[in-house]
Amino acid sequence: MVVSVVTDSTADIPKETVQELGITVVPLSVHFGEELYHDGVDIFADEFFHKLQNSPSLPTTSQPSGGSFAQVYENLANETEEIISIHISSKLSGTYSSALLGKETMGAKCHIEIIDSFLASMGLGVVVIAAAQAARAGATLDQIVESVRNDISRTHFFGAVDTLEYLQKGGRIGRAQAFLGTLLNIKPLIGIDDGEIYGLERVRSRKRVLERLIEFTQGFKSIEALSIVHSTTPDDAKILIERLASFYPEQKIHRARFGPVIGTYLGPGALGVAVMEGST
Amino acid sequence: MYKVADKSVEAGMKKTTSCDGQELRGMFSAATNWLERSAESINMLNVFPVPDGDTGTNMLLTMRAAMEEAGRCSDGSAAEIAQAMAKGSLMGARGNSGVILSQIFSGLARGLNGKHSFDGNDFAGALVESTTLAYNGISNPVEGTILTVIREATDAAHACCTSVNSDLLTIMEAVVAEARASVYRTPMLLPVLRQAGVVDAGGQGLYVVFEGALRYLRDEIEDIDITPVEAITAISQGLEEDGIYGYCTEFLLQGKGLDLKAMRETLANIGESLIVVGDESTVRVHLHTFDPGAALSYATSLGTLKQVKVENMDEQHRDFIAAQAQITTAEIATIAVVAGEGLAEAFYSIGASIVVPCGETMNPSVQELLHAVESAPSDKVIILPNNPNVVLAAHQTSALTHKTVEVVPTKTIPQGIAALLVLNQETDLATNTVVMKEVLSTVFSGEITRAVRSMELDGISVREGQAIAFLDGELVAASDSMAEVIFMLLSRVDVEHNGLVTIYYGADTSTAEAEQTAESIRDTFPVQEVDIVNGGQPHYNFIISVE
Repeated sequence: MVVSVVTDSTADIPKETVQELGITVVPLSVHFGEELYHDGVDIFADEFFHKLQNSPSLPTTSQPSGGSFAQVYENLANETEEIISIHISSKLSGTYSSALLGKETMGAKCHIEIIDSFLASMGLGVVVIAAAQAARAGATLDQIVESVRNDISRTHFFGAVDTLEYLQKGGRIGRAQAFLGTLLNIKPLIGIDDGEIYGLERVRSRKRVLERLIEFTQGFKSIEALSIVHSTTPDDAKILIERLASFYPEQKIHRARFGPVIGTYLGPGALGVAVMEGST
Repeated sequence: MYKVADKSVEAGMKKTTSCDGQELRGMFSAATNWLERSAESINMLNVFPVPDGDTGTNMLLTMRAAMEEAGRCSDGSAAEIAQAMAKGSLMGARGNSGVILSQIFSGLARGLNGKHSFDGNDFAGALVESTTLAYNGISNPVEGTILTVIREATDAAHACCTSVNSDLLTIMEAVVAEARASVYRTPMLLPVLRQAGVVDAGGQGLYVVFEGALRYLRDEIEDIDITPVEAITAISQGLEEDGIYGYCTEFLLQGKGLDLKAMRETLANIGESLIVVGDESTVRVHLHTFDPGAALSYATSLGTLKQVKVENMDEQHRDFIAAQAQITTAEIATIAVVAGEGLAEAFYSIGASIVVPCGETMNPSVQELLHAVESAPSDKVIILPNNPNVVLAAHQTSALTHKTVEVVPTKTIPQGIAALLVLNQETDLATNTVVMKEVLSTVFSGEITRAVRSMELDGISVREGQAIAFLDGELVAASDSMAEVIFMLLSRVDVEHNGLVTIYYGADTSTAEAEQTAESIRDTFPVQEVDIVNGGQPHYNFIISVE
């Protein structure tokens, strides 16, 4: 029996890939004032970023409840005996705790492994995709858990935002705090390290952002999985993909979009690169 | 009876053959006053006709610092006085010439070590140490500068030495004659001087210092006033060294027949760190005092006050202590040398721990830099001099502190910004220093000012008052129109292959003019981002970075 792979909507995995690999995605929610939306269910990137830029108040987000995880696990338990559930860094969201709660609530109907990825967006996404591919290839739960832990240690997620304002107001700024409050027009390059956001570098133009993201990516000796994510700048994403494709002609490059929940914290104009290094 | 009657004659005789500590102090006090008379003309020797980085003033302030320290050393031996002068000049050194001058005094102190008094041979020997230290202090010594002048003067002193007890006056005469000749030869050694039609300003300053010392030995000091240094010293000793700051008070006084000596004497009773420079019609005053009102009302009685600046140093100090308490994460502290309120804020906003203001010559002293290093909230400190004439002084601090100091030799504001932006607190000091140095070549720096005199340089003829543009320190354009000179500058840079043009406009430039300039740059380069920042810097109407 195939191991089921569960993640949450912050993984930003493109819909086709989710369907193709049979991944179960538990949505987080986004609130614009009184309005409540489910990430990737009844609100998608285009509409979200339009609202974000036009809404008088900033949106807030909330993690799925333990109950909704229990429900998801119950449903899957009808088809499988083994579940791996991989989630956004517990330092950025309570989703991982909700998943643990969900597992406890439903009791011992099936074997569930819940993993804190210490990553977010397609950083989490590439790990989940690799797990789903292994599951479909017939790997056991133990084998998948072991490879997921290994994959997490090899995966890096970094990118650029137009402003740190969204991360700051959303309380997720972490160690990138040091980059706040500049009088100059600065594009901060940030990344996730040990599960939290940190400031990588500050550059002064869009052009330089693209150059640096490419240079960072080229800094890895070998690459096993690569994904480019954007919020509102498909042209920039396209440039990144084209330049990286000419550098790594053999490499499949996933193209993804920051969803509403991640978009709440990164804002418009954000770019991300997820790299899974080749194992040494 | 004979001795009493001829006391003055004997004293005069004595100091021409050898000198004790008091006479050494007298020599260089006279030299300082002699230099003060020439400072303005030395300032005019700047290769570039720009209104900052004045060598004459920098050297004068360095000499004053040396003599203030020497003044604290009452009844010292020659060795002690030389040591005090070395220490004082080292801390007070401003600009590259000031730093080299301080190295020369360090050499004298080394050469005179243990001596109660010294003769010509001793002095010639000490000059050898001076030359060695002056050359060692520079990573890339250039001939045709103050370095050549000290070296050749030292050689001349040696050639004059006899086997025993050379007369000090004879040696000093040889030193002065050779220093003067050496200064005249500097344009032959350094093409940039030849082009600008000037001799080296630092070399000229050193020659003037030696000449002042010689005049003292010859008793030709009737019109050189040597009292102010002592007056300042008395006040300095009266105040505690640390903990008390008061108000930093600066103003420009305009009037007729202003008496600098009288002003110094009066103001010395009001505050310390007194600097009074200028002429009969215009005087610039800087002092630290608890009663700025007294200084200002005294000045008002003499003429018209301009450019009054009073800053509460206690408050600055308290603010600084408070800010320091907030900074808990700064693994590496950064110090930026910046003129202009807007630029200072820009540096603070991107994480500078301390911004050191440039001071009146745009070049802070070693002491000011050292104070910043010691106050910095970390044991690891990076200094961004942001001016080629501050780099040496910044390097001097590392030997004076137990902290680890790295200098990223930024020569312009844009380089300083670029370097500070790549500072990464998550990696170590050495790596950061390397990365910050690497980034300097990725930004073009344009500086635009008005020429303070007419000249021809690098095939560009400049008339006094014209707008002139420098690209990475090189004069590239001159025009009557500020806008035209900006576009001439930009035509030298591959703007199309860069993403961002930032315009920092100065204190003398209106926001409207800056916005208009930005707009015309946007029209010409529609793909590039163009930012404007109110830098508030003195002297430079525009600083422009292209990156």
